[in-house]
Amino acid sequence: MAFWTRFEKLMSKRKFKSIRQTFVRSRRPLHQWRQVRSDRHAFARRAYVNPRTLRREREFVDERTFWWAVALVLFALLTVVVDNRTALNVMGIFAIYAAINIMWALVMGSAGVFSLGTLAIVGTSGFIAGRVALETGLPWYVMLVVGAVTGAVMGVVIGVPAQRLDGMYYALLTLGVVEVARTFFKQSRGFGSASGGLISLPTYLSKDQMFSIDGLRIRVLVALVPFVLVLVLYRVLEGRRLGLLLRTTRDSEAYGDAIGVDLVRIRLSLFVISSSALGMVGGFFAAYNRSMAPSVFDMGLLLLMFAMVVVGGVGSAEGVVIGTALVVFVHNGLISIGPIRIIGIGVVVVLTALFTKGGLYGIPGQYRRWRDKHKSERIAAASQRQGDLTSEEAALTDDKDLVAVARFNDRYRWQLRELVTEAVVAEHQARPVGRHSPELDRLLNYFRKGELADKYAVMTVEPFSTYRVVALSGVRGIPPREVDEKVYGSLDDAYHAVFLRRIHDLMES
Amino acid sequence: MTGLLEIRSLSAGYGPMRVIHDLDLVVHAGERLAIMGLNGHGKTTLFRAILGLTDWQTGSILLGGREIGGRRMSAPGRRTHRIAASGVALLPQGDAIFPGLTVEQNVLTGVTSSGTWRRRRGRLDSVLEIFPPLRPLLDMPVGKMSGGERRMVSLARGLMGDNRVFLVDEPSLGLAPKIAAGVIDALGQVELGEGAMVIAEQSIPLLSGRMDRILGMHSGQIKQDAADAFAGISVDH
Amino acid sequence: METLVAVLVSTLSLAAGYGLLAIGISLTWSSLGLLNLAHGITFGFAGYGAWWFGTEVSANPVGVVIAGVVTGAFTGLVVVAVAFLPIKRQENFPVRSLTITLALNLVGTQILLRVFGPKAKNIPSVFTFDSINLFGTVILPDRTGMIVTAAVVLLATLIWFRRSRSGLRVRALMQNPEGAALVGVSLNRTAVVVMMVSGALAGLSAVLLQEIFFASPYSWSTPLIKGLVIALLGGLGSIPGALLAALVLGATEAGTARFVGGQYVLYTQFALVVGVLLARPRGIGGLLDEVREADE
Repeated sequence: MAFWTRFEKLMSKRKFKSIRQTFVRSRRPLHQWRQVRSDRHAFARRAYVNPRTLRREREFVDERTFWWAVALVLFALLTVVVDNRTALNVMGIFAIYAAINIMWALVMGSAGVFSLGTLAIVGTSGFIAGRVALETGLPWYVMLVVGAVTGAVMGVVIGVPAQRLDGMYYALLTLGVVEVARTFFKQSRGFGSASGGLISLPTYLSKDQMFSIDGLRIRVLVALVPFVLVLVLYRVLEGRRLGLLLRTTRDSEAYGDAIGVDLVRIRLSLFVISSSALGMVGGFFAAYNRSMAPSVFDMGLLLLMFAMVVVGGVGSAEGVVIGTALVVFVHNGLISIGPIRIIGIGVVVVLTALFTKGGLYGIPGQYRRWRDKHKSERIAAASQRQGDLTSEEAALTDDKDLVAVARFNDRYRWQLRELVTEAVVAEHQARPVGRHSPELDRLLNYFRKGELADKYAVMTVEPFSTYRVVALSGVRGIPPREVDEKVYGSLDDAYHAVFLRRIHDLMES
Repeated sequence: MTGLLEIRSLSAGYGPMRVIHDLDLVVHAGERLAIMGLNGHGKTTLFRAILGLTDWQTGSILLGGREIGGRRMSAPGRRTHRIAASGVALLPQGDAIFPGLTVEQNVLTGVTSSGTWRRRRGRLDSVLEIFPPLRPLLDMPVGKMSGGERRMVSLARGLMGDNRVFLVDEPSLGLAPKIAAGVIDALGQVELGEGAMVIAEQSIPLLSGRMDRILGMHSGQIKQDAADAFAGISVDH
Repeated sequence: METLVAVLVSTLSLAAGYGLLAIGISLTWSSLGLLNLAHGITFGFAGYGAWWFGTEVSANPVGVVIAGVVTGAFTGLVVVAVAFLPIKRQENFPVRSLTITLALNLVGTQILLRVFGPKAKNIPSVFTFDSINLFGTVILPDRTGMIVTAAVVLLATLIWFRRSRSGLRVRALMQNPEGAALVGVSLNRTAVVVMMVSGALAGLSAVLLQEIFFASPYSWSTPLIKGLVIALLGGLGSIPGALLAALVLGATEAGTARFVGGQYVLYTQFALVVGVLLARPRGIGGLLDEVREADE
């Protein structure tokens, strides 16, 4: 990345030398920041030679970490700069919802569990954490711990059936879990059925901070903490080893079994870990709002959160966060334009599902694929049909090597066909083995390197007296098949018969 | 000379693979035609291309003068139901039938027009004349039946509609020789009238004497003279 | 005896109402592979359709029922046009269509809210004949009408499904989509038929259940979940399974409400469903699904 080169150049100047010492070549080498259970570290870079300038440059192995850091710093700065209460509130809600949605996307995208019960975990953990805090009088951060524990327990309870049920069955069941949770917390007196939920929960703001705008800023900034925690967790779990295993085996459990991966265990632990994180966010949610209401379990909120996840794209944290930002901004920021905004969100979701494969964040990739396909189709159409593959096929092939090889082989065969003459055949008949004319040599060389499948060969039935022509199967363990009933008395005759068959196939193909 | 089914420079395949290469074939009305060829030379793909089930295809396919083919680069199966309804019955390799339905229901799915549906009882009776072993099994789910019986159900289903072209894909595949012969016999009894029947097979002896014409298929192309070349080959199933 | 009769009547009427919803969900999933969560908003729209007809045009019971059914069928048509036809052959269809149906709920709710306001509307009573006295239990006309109507309609649906040509086509499509295309079954046309039928059933259920759920912008979520749970218990795709599941869950609801307490209904139902699904992951009537899967 050019940015980094420029940055290093700047750093090499004298006045930045001390900074450079601490930042670029700090005493702790970067590999000490390696992420757990993976071989990458957050700001790893690699050197490469820029083919245009022929200069050595360094770039991030994974640029995203850098951009995340930039975005988070900008968000924090924005919190300090913005002077508008509504905007600050929207930012706080965004941070919490984004944390929830990232974990949700992890469950749906990586673990492949189509769960709609995310809010049940968040809400239940929040309620239980709040109740514990009220009963014991412990400070707010205890609610995070209690929430995380509750979340983990719920993860086990509702994660185990997921391993037994099919995707859609499970999705419906989790919808039921949300409904059960809603009914329970709405009716239960211990959770404030009379007052519409739990109120006056402990929080991290002091009394006089609560109503000042600076207090609101602190409130929003602290909300970044669970967000960052969840983000780090996502990167770790999505990391090379675990994430790759899950993504490669998502569609085929048999494949996972075959390569010795205990998929069920990995999925379940992923589900429990992310549920625990959701529980933690739930506990924080209670502290953030200083209250818990059963409305977290409402179908409306579930639909809205689902919209956030799918608009951006389930496949990546970036997509989810973009989707969350968009929907939260429209839903909570533009209240003044009324309910029409929710219709707008719904329409956007429908359009995204209709026209994109992986949400808004996947559009650039989808566009590139579309453009590449059309480009190769145009090129193929322009260069006429010369090879074995038609232009349509060439356009459909991702591996352009195949197209080139097919074209080459086809032209090669055309040339070889011209070499086949009566004279060559007669020459081979006279002397199948030994020195040959250049034309015959070329033909024989081509035949020798042909594919094994359906390649003709000579089979000895009785040495020196009985030979037959067979065709190899090309597969180990499957015997060659007999080509015809003819029997040849000498090896030379059989060789020539094979030669004739090959010539025949060459002329026909 | 024109035929019932005319295929002109048909190419078709799956993804980057081209299985059918510039194929020409004319099937005349009232004719029983066999296409011989080894595994992987495109017999099944030819049938699937006629019904628009391959990933892509080009070239023209005329059924009674009406175009059912044409250039198609994506969406396999989009036109299949229309092609099927216009009178092409594919009796697929294996048993692409409905295992949860009974024999009677399976056979009745073959009805392609509401006129025939009203006369379905009579039609069913006449079809069962050809396949007498099916009569006592009418209420049995097809999933529980033997391979030979299922093949018969599949054939019977094809005969229920007002089909003009029957494409029979490897009727003997996976069957014991005796049962296979029975299935082929039943195929021979079908009255074609103005229709035609195309059978793809690997073994000639089974069909010898029952067909009007035998063509060979090699590497995705029809070889008019290839029948002789294949005449001596016996293929184990 | 009285208790028993009361529970029985309650069971049957609940089973009737929810069964109508569940069958639509089941049918759509098994024939089109579409998990139609917009069934909830179909229910909502149909309720408003019936209410509008009853207040604006005439309170004639037959008219009200027909209005509900027609609105339901029409909503089904909209759903199939948006959530099924454009993307039916594209990759990742199940999740994308599910997303769209969920979003349709979101949009539909807001439309209802905008047009009719948040206040719940009372659909005029459809059944006006006298109460029946059975073994000393008074059965309200609503209950009787509901049970009889639903029984007749469900029977008719079953017969349509089993005997008619379009029913056969739907079943062929459930079993083997490619095979169905080979016998000339048009996926589009069948999809429209299935969605209109299931929408009409949802509409009928909205009119019949008006005692419990008034027409209101948000009242569809509980019926949707009950319908889903029944379809789930019945093993998505099996009509007899769904009917049986409706009876079982209706009995659980009625029994729990009578003997334990109304607020525990959801818990017992949910425990039952989870128990059954853990024992038989494909629900009561999952056999059909297994056959279909084995064939693919």
